[in-house]
Amino acid sequence: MAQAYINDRTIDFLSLKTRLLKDSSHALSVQFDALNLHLRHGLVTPGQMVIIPDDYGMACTFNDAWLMRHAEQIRRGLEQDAALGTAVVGQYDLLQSLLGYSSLGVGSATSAWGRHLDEVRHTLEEVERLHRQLKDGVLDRNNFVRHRQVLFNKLEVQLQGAARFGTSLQSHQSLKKVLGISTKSYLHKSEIVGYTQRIKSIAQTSKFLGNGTYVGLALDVGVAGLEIKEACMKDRGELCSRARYVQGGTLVGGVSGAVMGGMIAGRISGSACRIVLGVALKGQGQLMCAIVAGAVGGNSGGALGGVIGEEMGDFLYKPAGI
Amino acid sequence: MSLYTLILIVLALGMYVSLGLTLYGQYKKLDELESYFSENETVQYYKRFWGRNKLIDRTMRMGVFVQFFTWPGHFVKSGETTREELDSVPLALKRWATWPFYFSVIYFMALTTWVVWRKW
Repeated sequence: MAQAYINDRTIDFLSLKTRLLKDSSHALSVQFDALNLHLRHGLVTPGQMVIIPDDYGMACTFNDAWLMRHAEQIRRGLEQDAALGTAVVGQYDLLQSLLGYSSLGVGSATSAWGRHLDEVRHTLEEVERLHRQLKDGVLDRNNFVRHRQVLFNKLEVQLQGAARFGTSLQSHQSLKKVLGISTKSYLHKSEIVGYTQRIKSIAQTSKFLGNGTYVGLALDVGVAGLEIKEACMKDRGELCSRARYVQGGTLVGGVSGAVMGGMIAGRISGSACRIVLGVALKGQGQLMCAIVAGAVGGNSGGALGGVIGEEMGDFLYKPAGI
Repeated sequence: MSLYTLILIVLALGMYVSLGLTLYGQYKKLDELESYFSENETVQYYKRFWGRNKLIDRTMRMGVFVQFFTWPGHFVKSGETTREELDSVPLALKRWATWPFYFSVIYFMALTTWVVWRKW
C-alpha cells in the first residue's frame, strides 16, 4: 500500500525522487512519477503531499487513487496561499497538540451549549403553544398577552449577549420582530411565518452540538493515529511498534483522564463560580461556568491522563521485547 | 519491582477505580437521590436542563448533590435547599455522591504531583 508524507522543504522533483527512492527499481520510479503527477510542475514546496509507492504492488489501488485525489486538493490549496504550507509544516506539532486533549474538553463544552439551545427551543415552543391556545379560545386575549410577556422575558434572559449564538437570532430588534411573531398572522394562517423552521434549525444545531464530546473523541483518536502513522513512515521497525504502544496508551489514558477531569470540574463548577464570582447555581452564569470548567477540566485531565498512559504504554512495550 | 513501576501501576489502576466509582454513583444512585428532592427547585431545574441522560447530563445533575452535601450550610443559607431535605437522605446514599468525588480529587492531586515530579 502506498504511503504519503508532507514535504517539509523546497526541493526540485528529481532530487526529491532520488532522495526517497534510493536504489529502487525502474518500475518503482515509473510508479512514483505516475502517483505524483501533481508535483511535476517545477519545485516541490513545503506542505505538498508526496506519495511513496509500495515496494511490492505495482497496480494502482483504491488507496492510491484516494491519496492522489487529496494530494491534488492540497496542491490547489497551496497554489492560492503558498505561505500556508510552510506554516503548517512549521506548526505541525503545535497543531497536533492543540487538537489533542483540548478537543475532548471543547467537545464537552459544546455539549453543554446544546443543552442551552434545548432550553431556548423549549421556550419558543411554549410561545407557539400559547398562540394555539388563543386561537382555540382556551385563553382570552389579556391572559395571552400576560403569559406571552412572561415567556418573552424568559427568552430575553436566555438570549442575553453571547447566549444568542446558535439560535440564528442575532439581531438587536425586539424579540417579537426577530421571531416574526404576529398574532394577527397566526390567527389567519395558523402558523407563525418561518417560526417552525427556526425551531427546527435550533433543534438541529442543538443536536449537533450535543454530540460534541463524540466529535472531540473522534479527533483525539485521529491525533493518535496521526502520531503512529508519522512514526511508522520514518521507521517501520522498532520506532513504529513502540509508537503503537505509547500512542495507544496516551490515547486511552488521555481520554479517561479527560472524562475524569471533566466530571470533577462539572461537580465543583457551581460552587467555584459562586465563591469566586458570586454566580448563582441556576441560569446563564452557571452554564458559562459549566462550559469553561468542562473545557479546562477535560483539558487538564486529558493532559495528566495522557502522561500516565504514555508511561504505561512504554512500560508494556518493554517486556513485549519487540 | 521498582518503586517507580509500583507508583505507575497504582496510578493507572487508580484512574479506573475512580472512574468506576463515579460512574456507578451517577448511573445507579442518581435517580434515587433525586427522588428525595422532588420539591426542590434547583434540582428540578437541573433535571430539566440536563435532561438528555448522557454522561455530561448525569455528571452535572450529580454535581448539585455533591455541592449540597459538601457545603450544606452554604446552600441552606442561600435557600437552594433545606436542612429537612438534606437530612431525609440516608447516609449511605449521601456517601455515594461525595466519596467518589473526594477519591477523584485526591487521586488527581496525587497524579498532578507525580507528573510534575516526572516532567520537571
